Amino acid sequence: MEWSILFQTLIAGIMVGGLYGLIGMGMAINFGVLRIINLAQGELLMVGMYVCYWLFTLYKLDPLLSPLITVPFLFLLGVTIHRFLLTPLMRARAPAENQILLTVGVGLVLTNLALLMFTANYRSVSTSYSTELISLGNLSVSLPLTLAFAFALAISGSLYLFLTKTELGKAIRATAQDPEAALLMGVNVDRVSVITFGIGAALEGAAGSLLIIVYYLFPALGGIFTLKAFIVVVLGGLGSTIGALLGGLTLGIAESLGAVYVSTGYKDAIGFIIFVLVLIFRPAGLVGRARM
Amino acid sequence: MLKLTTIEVCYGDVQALWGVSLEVHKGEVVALVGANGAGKTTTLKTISGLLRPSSGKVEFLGKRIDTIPPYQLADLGIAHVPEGRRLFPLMTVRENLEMGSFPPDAREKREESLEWVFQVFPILKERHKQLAETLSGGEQQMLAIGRGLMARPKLLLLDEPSLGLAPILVKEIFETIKAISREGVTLLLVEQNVQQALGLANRAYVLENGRIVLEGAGKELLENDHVKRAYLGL
Ligand SMILES: Nc1ncnc2c1ncn2[C@@H]1O[C@H](COP(=O)(O)OP(=O)(O)OP(=O)(O)O)[C@@H](O)[C@H]1O
Ligand SMILES: [Mg+2]
Repeated sequence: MEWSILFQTLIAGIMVGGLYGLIGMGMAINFGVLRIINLAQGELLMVGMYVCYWLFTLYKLDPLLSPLITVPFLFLLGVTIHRFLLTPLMRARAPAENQILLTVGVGLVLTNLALLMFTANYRSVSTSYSTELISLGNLSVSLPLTLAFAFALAISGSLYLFLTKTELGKAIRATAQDPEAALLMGVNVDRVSVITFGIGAALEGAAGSLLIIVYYLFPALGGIFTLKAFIVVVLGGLGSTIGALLGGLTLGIAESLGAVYVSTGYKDAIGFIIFVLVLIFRPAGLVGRARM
Repeated sequence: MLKLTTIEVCYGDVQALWGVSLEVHKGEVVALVGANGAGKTTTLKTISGLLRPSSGKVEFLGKRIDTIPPYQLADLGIAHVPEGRRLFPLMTVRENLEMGSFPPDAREKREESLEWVFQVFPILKERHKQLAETLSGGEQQMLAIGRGLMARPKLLLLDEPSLGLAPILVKEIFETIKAISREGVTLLLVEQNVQQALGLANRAYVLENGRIVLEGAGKELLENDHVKRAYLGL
């Protein structure tokens, strides 16, 4: 067994895992507060990537700077979806299944809009650093992946600080833990619900800006990543953002090991096997109940 | 200060309150007592806006409050310490207290209020970094009351603060309630511990099957035959 290959595989897995974690966090924070899984999470990521792609292609904006635009853009998109589609359902006290189905519909619409506007072509951005490698001894890691990982950690860290240190962040956590008690504290829980959905979408905007420098883009990508986000969130213990990061790392490492030591063809299957094993042996997720 | 006029409240088709009228004056301790299912919690929830009356009205400081959004009530000066404590289990003691001072007016006085609450409940200061779910039952009740005090309320609604506590703690909680009242907070207290509640209250109401059946001074009700038979087991 070649140790350097193992290390290299692990490092790549951890880095991809950091991105998966960020993608899952949006779904986790939504579930925490709204108590529904947003099954359009991957499609929102896809929208973020297209925004990023066009900013790069038309205006040469570096993807790593594009969160300045994708984050507010996706936040507004999320708020709009909540305000005009989810809010009416919630007001009518529609069952959670209907709300989840609505998000599936939103995902379908977004995918088909992308297909109509941008065709099914695969696209990618090539930046000055796209193909560069960092070498450490006989290990080499892709520079864009390293950058994406570092940014993903920074964004996760900011989310953590936001949730623990700001009034709004604490109100979001309080609402997730006991909405009625939060209301008694004077928290406008309806507004928190809208803002949280916006933040969940904004996180996909940020993740899209990072994913595009290491991956390619096509309209149907949303479904694939909604599924990954779902696995990540369940692995992490539904509703926990910290858990999502751990879930992401687990999935990233598992996929990466599977691709190298089993077969690239089984990469996704290995993700599922881990998913099922965790559900069987740790049904509350890897971290169980977490503070955020 | 607080005035309920012929309130009716329903859960779906089931009516829980029938023409309930009651008043709380500034500086008073008012007790609301009654058996399980009488509608005590329902009354408090209606005051704090978690439930809407189907008829009747709720006024606070001369202003109608059953039509304004419930999240605005905390800022008006009503704090509700709910039945079952309803802490934020995965937040620390300190974070729970901070949430109590979420309303804008209370937020400005947060540090001052924290000192006050830590003075009333020294144990909370010791435990301030601990997650609320890891506290003992008694400590959780103190935290729930402390969180209510953090709002600097004009009116504090307490729903069965002594429920599930050992007798010695029950005594302590009642002492604390007295102390809070002496600090100028008006109190509406729901209790099944009728003896203690009536002993403490300036005035009291007895609720049965969603209707107010008796009202009067606390001490006076302690002598009432019906109260003695139905609630004091005498
Ligand atoms: N969410 C609900 N849905 C339907 N009925 C309810 C609900 N909550 C309370 N009720 C009913 O309303 C009535 C009053 O309940 P409430 O909780 O106000 O009583 P309580 O006096 O607080 O009793 P306890 O001392 O047991 O807390 C009861 O008959 C109860 O079954
Ligand atoms: Mg009750």
